[in-house]
Amino acid sequence: MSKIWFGLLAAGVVLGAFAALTVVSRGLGVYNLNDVTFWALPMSGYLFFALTAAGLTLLSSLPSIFGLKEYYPFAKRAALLAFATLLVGIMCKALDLGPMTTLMNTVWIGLSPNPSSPIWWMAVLYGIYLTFVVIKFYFLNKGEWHSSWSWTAGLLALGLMIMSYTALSIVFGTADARPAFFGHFTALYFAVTALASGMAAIVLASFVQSAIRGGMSFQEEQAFDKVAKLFAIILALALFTFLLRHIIGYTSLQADFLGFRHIAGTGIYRTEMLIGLVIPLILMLIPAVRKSAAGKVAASVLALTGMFAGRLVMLLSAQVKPIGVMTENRPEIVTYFPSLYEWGIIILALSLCLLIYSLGVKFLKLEAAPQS
Amino acid sequence: MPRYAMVIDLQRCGGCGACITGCKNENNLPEGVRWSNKMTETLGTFPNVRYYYRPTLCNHCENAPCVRGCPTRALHKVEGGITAHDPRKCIGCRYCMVNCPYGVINYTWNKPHAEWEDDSEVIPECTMSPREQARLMNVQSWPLFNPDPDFNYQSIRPAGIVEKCHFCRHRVVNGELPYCVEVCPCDARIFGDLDDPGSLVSRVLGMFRAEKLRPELGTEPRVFYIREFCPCVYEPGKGMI
Ligand code: SF4
Ligand code: SF4
Repeated sequence: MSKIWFGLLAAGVVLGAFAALTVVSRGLGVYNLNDVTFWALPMSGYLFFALTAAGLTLLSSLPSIFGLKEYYPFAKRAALLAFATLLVGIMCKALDLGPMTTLMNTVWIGLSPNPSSPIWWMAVLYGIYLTFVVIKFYFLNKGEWHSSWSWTAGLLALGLMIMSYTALSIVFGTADARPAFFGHFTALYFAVTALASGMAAIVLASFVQSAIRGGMSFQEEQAFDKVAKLFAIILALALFTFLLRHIIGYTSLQADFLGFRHIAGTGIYRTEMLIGLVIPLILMLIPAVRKSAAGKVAASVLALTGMFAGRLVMLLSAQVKPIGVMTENRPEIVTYFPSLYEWGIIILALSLCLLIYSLGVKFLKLEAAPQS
Repeated sequence: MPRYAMVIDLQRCGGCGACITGCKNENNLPEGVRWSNKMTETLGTFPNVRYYYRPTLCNHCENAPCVRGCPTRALHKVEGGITAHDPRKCIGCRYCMVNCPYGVINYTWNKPHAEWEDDSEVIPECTMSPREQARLMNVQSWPLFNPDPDFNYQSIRPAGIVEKCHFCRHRVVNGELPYCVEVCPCDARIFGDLDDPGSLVSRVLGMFRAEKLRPELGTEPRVFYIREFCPCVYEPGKGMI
């Protein structure tokens, strides 16, 4: 892997680390957030990476837990990527809390638990989930594909993924004060888009590595053709839920959906729809494109870009329209544009995630699969 | 154990905002943060227009969604059903701001009262700087600093956490009224125990049909609004088609 690539990633990490240190020392005042739009870009980074990790965890479990042996060629890679995305996702959330003094208060999650809070469950389950993702990768890296320890760790990682994803969905699902989070419908939307972004991530990562290595084994190629077909199905499902959400948002008489309708007229919504869903789906439906490496890579890059925009769409839909007393002296719809520090956190997350993966490619033989 | 509630008589309220400034002083609120606030509305079209004013604060909901959702119990219920906040436990997640339908919770984005650390003169070569002024007045944070909320809260909450009205719990537990009630020159705010049939809040709520904000959400607010200030008259009639 080239020095230029690692140099770029290192530059991204340094730039992002500057933003992160500023946030930790000065607090969230450096973000363009306020009491109306208070969950925005850093939070969407969390959603994007955490949900991609969910999709990747499922993919890496296909051979060992579900017995779909043809998917072994990318199981280890998906496991490492799940760890990297989850780690940076949690980092995004931490950098969305406050300065160091606030971060130290997180000990109270353990010392003063509130089991009626979905966000408490989310924090706890994501913590345990991360641990099992690490343990699972540790066994795969040792070459223990079939040991009972490895299988148990894989099963627990999968179970915890499902539980933490459910908690995350409930965080939004129970927010009665903000119907434009789309209530429990969000669980369905998260599920299909998490799978879509997980698949996009694994396809992209594998092809980048094979390009560097100069080709794929026959077994790998076959596995990726299958993934590409699955990817097309998942994209179609994601587009269906997207349209369903669109219909709900436009037919509801609740004034709260005005925010959603405003966002639906903006570029980020079109990015989610066209770049993230429609174009990749069309690409994956054309057999010649689907079979080509360039087609798969293009569809994955587009889907990931659109999914990232989609996370912001979801958050802003329920926040650009002020509620309650926040409406006083404010326009009906407020505008939001991220600050450089917010972009810095996303750059940090992306660079760190790619750095972990690239180091894995270099040192950990990610294409490894069991002999039998 | 009492069940505290507040009745706001909109016919008496003159819209002066004394409650807002009183609360800011009593609780050392930083710039941009208002626990006691208002919602205004201009009704009708010119020339038939009217200005409508409604004072607001935390409703100390009986079924408080902010309390249910707080991961560390930083928001919790205390004596009399007050929704209190523990700044030491708050992790700044802002889920309470997602859940509160009334928009009465503020996150402190920057260091509170940092404007008093400014070294530049307000009018160059004419006035002193805020920092110098604070130093001469021998105050630690801001000139109007009130240490009273330290009794059971924190007089000045740090940046990076949320804060909201606590019904002046530090006063109420000592037998005093919330400061917004105290300073209201129109006696438009009435505070008391809902479980005491003889209390003024209970009596007033027995006399007038009270309004609660967004009752359909089931939060059961403990802030009630009665009557309306309206000097309008119109000629009786049946209108026309
Ligand atoms: S008004 Fe908002 S902050 Fe106050 S108790 Fe109700 S939900 Fe909580
Ligand atoms: S911001 Fe603080 S008070 Fe609000 S839900 Fe989070 S921990 Fe609780």
